[in-house]
Amino acid sequence: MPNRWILSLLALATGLPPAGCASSRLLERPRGTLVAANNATGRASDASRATPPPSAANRLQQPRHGARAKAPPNSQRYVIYRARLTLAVFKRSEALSRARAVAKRLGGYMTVLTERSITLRVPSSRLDAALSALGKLGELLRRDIRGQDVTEQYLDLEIRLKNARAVRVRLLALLAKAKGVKDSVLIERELARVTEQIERLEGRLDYLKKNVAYSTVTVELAHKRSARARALRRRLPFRWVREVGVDSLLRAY
Amino acid sequence: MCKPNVISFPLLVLSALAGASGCATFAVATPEGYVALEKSSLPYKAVSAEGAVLAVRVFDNRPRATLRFWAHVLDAELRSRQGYRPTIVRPITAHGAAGIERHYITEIGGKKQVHIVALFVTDKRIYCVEATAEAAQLQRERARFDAFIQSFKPLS
Repeated sequence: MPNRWILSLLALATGLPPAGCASSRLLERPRGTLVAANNATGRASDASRATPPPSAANRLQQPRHGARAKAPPNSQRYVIYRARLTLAVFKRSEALSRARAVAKRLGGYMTVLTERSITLRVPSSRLDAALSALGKLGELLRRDIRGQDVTEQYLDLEIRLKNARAVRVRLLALLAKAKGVKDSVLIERELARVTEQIERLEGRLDYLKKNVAYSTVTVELAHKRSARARALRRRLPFRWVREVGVDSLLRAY
Repeated sequence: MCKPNVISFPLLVLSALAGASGCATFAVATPEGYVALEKSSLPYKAVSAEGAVLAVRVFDNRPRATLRFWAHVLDAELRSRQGYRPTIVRPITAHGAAGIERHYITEIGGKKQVHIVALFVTDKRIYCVEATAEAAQLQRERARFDAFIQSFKPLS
């Protein structure tokens, strides 16, 4: 039976059992790999919206292609950093434009700007410099830095991509040898599936590369007057001092 | 409301009208180019045509404390809570009363604003003699501000 023969060949090429034969191979895959592939579709589009300069991806240190379980040395770890600073400033608009200038000076760029906050992407190698410069724009009230180690995810994606590309090469070889329309259709269908998988993996890998290369820094700005007001009221039980000032002077009739 | 004795320049006979209203707690002279508001929520307020403002506020010296103490309290309030940037601090004397004068810079509507506060303290009262104008106007108003503060006289 030619169909059975071609299905067996496909199974060998893709490393998957033929359709309808619910055997163990799919179940042996780590559950996370399917989830990662699903996420890749959505996040890849995010990455394309905030594309950093092309030089950024080249700064990544390329990990070795090795066994999945092999832990890379510290210097080759892939970490996505997200930092959040809360500053008290006298004038928000001025602080926002200065924050934007800091990012630009360090080779970064702005992704989100609101009346009270700005989100910046800065090269990860300049994250410390960025945090230091941004922290000086006002009174630092809060500073959070979170790192997400994506090394395993990164290496796993690389291996899966390598495998998928190898499968595609084997399928192309099979297609060249296929005899009859039915066999060709079957192989082409599988080829389309594997190609789509490759594209998803490439997108996911690209997203990780960009996020590792560029750290996200969100700067939230509180008005200095109101930020300090509560603390001072607690400290000073003299109400009259709060009446003194330009605002009340100009408002008073 | 207990209003001060207000005298127009160049009549600087501060004490001559002291107590005219029966309850005046200070006397002050309104500089030329300013108009003292007759019905103000403050004990004294005068404005110029360009929007510069002069004012006097009076508070009870309770709990009783020294000029130095209240000057520190007010300075902490203006700098920390209201975000004023101090530029000048100097001891002053007006009609024999010792005071502390501080100059600050702040921003109103995106423009730099100068705020001058001279603090005088007696056993009973705390007097805040204030003057404010846009920083661009300061050069023109400076002499009037100084004269206004110098004209101030606590009466009780």
